[in-house]
Amino acid sequence: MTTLGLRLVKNLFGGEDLPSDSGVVAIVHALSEPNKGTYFRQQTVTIPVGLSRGYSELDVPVGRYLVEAPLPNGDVVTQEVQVDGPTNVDIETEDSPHEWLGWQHLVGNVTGRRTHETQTPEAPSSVPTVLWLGDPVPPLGFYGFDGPGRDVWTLLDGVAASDPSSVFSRLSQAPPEPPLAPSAGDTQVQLFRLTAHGPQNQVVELGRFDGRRFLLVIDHRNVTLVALPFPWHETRSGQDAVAEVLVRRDEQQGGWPDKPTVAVSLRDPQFGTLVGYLTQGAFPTAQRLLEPAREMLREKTLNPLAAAAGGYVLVGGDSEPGQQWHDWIANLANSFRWLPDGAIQRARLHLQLARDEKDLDLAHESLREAFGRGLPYFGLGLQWLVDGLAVFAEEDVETAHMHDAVRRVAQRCNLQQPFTVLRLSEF
Amino acid sequence: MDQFLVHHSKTEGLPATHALVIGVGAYPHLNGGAGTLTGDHEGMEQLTSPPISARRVAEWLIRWLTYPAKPLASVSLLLSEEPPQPFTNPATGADYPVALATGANVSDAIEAWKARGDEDADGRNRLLFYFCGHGISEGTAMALLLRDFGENDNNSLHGALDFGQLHLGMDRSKGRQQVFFVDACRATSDTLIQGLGHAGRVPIRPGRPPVGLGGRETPIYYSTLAGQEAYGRTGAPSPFTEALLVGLDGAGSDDAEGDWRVDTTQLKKAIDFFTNKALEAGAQLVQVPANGALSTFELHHLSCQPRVPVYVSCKPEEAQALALLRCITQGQPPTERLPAGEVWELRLTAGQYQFRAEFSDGSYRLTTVDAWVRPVYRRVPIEVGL
Repeated sequence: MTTLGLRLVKNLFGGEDLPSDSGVVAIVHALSEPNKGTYFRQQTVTIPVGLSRGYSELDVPVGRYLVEAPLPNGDVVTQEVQVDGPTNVDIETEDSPHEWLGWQHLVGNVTGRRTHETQTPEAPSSVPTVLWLGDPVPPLGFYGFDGPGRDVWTLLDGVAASDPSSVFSRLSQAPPEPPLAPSAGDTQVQLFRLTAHGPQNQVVELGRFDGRRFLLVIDHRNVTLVALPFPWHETRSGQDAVAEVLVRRDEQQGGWPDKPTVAVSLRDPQFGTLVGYLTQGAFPTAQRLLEPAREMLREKTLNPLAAAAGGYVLVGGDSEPGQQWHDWIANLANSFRWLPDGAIQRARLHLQLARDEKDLDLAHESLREAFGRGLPYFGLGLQWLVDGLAVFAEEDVETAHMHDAVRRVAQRCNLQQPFTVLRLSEF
Repeated sequence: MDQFLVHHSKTEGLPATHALVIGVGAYPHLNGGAGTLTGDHEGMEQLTSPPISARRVAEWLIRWLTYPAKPLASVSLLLSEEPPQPFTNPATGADYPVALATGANVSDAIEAWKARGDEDADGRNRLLFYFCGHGISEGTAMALLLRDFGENDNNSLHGALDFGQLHLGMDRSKGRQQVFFVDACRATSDTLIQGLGHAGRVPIRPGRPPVGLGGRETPIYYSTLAGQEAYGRTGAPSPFTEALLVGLDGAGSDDAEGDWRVDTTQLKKAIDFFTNKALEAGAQLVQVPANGALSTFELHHLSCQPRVPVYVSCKPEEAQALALLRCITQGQPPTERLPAGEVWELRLTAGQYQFRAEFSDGSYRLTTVDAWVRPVYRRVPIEVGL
């Protein structure tokens, strides 16, 4: 036996490399006899990503192997390796268009350099305006259970029907500040880096220190509301995580026609790629990253939004009755009553594992509670909420109204993004 | 046998797989159609690929789908094509007239398909759904356009299927494994659903799922490739359907159990890979509803080694256009490709190969690379020296 060390080489510019237990997933296939047929036919591991991290080490028999790494951006990179003694392998992936887009490329929000360079649109006559919405009106920004959060649905539906130039004033309690300046950009993309305290390169008014944060992206035709995933503290360090918001003008990757695409990702070394896999719908793969994080999930008081991300991965993947993490989902919903996503996941689990009508009743009740908590942080939460309410919509008038209200907002959601991004209004 | 079935075999009360396949290319009320043009045409045109794609999928299922625990028991097929053609069952050679994919027919077919899923009271039946044709997606809502889309001036989506509601409604089925393939070409603006307030017919309304049968396992595979061009290929299935069939044929398989089996997760990897390749080639993507769940279960057992896409190229790129490329394996005559600028694409059976780059003008050294080929795909860059 010997050791095989693996890592994915990628410049994640501007942030720390990803540790071995939260980087990307790799599958090591034995190619040569006599390895095949021994206990080692195939093993799945998580490997670090970056330029300076060490390697994930695996005990393997001497032989030939194929390493396959499905990435959060949907690409699958492979590398064949002969292992005759301790061997370290650097798995390479396509270059990102710019160094500062390394993270965005990894999580799938931009294409690789080759494809990016073939798209050479002219510089647009105008660039989108990005406004910080740090003090939203209560239905949008309120933290609280059974509070004005339930009014967010009619608020957003009303805003969508209104004059686009009035959107900011209808959503904010504070006057607008100067538009945000991107941290970096080219003719196709603008990149903004923010924490819960605002952009890294600009001072802004914060409003309630514990309130929700949003961005408004205003193009010459459209207004897009972006729910920022704050508060999010890096799981290992406890520091405020940085969110990268990409405003992309090319329509190639799923943009609405003639509209900018807004993509939000989190530079959390522990959970960043997990959210990427979640967005891709690769739940079983994401669950591999969740294994080392389960202990941290138990400590969800530090980062309930990260716990919610883990909850989506668990509930959306294989789900057998009686698993320990089912209690965590219930605890998340009960302990953080400002978090719509917790109640949504609890409802989904009741629906999936219903043993009797009482379980379905509990799902119904949880969905009504989620409705009252306001706009989910995660786009998948919005989908699960509208789907769940549809199941019970014919049972009572109030649920039918809830379903209709959420459906009208959900139709505006970009579900290719992990966090809630809504196309609100059009000029 | 109901009018939609083109394949039916008895399974003696055992769990089984039932498929519903729909392909809509002829739209009388869209541009180029034989009927009155609807005011909601939004520039949509006739499509050639969907009926071909649907036939290929139906043929593949009948001829090749192998899952011993839930063998294929039925395939229902509805098409809209000009002119209509019968379907020849590849297993029996029998010809079947194919029902038109209108709203009414599709609704009836869905009810019959769900009823087959309900035949096993223990929830063990598996249901497969495939659609190819025009589609509109707005956030969580998706309308699959059927042959009679636009026939009703007051409600064009009366000729459409609300896919989101269908997927939700099918949670009422006792068949707890349901796989959906949605190959919908989106070529409209995003306001039709919003404007009409709904996304089409709802044959099975959402409601409480059956209790005590376990959760539903229900992956949805959406095509995310945009543009009518991809669905107008003459005599060929759409790119998504091609990727799906290549995946089922082996690119989406794994041998963790000793033999090669396609499962839901591997199939997704294969389809995502081919989508990314199309993106590199200049395709555009569209937004689709989120795939809100994906559990891993087996779909198909291969009876032979999988055939896997292989991409052979030279490094540096300049050498590519000068290289005679050969692919050699034991027991097979070698294959070769004359010098050309683009990457050499092959489909090879999983196994070990030798790839060679030869330069008759001596511009680079002859170089040989040994490589194992296995799913999902294999890139073989041959680094040549001077």
